[in-house]
Amino acid sequence: MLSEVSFTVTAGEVVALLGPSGSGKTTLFRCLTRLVEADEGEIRLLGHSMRGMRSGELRLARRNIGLVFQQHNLIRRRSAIDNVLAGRLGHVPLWRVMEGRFEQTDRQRAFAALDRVDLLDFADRRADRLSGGQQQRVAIARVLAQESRVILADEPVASLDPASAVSVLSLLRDIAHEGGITVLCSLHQVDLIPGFADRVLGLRAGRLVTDSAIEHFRMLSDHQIYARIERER
Amino acid sequence: MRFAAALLVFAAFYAACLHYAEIDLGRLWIGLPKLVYWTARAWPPDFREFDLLLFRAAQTVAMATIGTSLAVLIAAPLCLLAARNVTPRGFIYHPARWLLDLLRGVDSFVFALLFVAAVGLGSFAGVLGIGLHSAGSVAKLWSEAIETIEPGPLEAVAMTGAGRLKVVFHALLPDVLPALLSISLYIWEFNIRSSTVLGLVGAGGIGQDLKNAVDLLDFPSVATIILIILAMVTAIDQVSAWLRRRLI
Repeated sequence: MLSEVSFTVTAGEVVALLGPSGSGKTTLFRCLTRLVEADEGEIRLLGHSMRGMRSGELRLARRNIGLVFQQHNLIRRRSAIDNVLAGRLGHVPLWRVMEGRFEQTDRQRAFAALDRVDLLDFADRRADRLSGGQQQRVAIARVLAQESRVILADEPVASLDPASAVSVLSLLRDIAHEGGITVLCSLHQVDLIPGFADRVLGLRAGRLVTDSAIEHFRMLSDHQIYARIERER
Repeated sequence: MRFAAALLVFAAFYAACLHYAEIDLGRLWIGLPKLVYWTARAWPPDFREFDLLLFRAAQTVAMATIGTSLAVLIAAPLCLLAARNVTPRGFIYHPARWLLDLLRGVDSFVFALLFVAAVGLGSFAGVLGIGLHSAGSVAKLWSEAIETIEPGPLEAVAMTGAGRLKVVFHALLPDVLPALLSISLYIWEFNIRSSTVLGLVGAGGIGQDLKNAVDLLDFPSVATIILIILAMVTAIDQVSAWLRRRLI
């Protein structure tokens, strides 16, 4: 249950959403994309209110929100490149999807996205034959192919080893800065935040207890950061 | 104590079934010599009408094949409506399931009987009968295969702004296609066997000749027909196995 969660994110910001499990991070994301309907409140994306939208408009709006999940959520039997092409589905007519024949420009975008995450050599590899870190990077390539203005990442590195986690977060950060894309990323590993986020939102028991720039956290140790979230309000 | 009571109920149920099924071993004992006599009279098989019977066998296979194809066409949209994870609106799911239960519940034989009255004697009635009944079976098995697909990837693809049908074609079908093909082949094999009896109601195929031969007590012909049916079913099983290896 979320209550009184209110914040504004500027374009190109990288925001970390910190909180223990059960604090409502996933619920917040599901509300933002309207997978779950919030009882009250407003959600505005790029100046438009999300809550009033009907299914057709909502689908168009969702093209501008790229999602990265903890479980990758790739189509297991399909190749990496076909998974990345899924990012273009919002822009492509149905008949092309039915026949599996995408336009040259869409294919180029997909290959470029795969290249950006350094997995071009694995384009034809089946998704379930890739490692966890590679799968997550394919998921990010899918988001890149979508060319969304916003990326919402829900615990994207929770199942990765520390080295892969750092590598994936650096990739997200670079993408945000290169494209002016806004990133809202939920994490529970405090030590990954410095060097990644510009701003930290702290969630506890469904409430927003911290909203500050990264500078305020630089001096604190990991333990202190969490303790501050526990203490606030 | 509970186990003994359950056993008693089970025994009573079984006794009732035996009674209602009119099991009478005495009649089997009396009838057995007749069967032996007929089997002896059936050898050697009568091959005089062989080319006609071969035509009928081909008709049986054709009937099963077109019927199964019709079933697949009907089942394709129906299975999507009857799969919990894909159906567009909740209130469509239940009517869709009722429809496929209805189609499945009425055997091809019964549908064929009705269609003979409507479109006349011959294979066409058989095709329609198989088409409708199997549509229910195929749709049920297909929708169950679709429901086993993990929801995560489907949700992820839908969230890129893709509509339901795009999600089905890009993310669902590739995952579920092997299962769909396997089920279709299984139903096709099943229909080859069940088509052999559709002739009994005049719906075409070799069943009609079998019935005629039995009615005339023409056992050599009966033997021929049974041999042809066995050969046909065995051949189809081989073809089906080969197709499975190549496609799935």
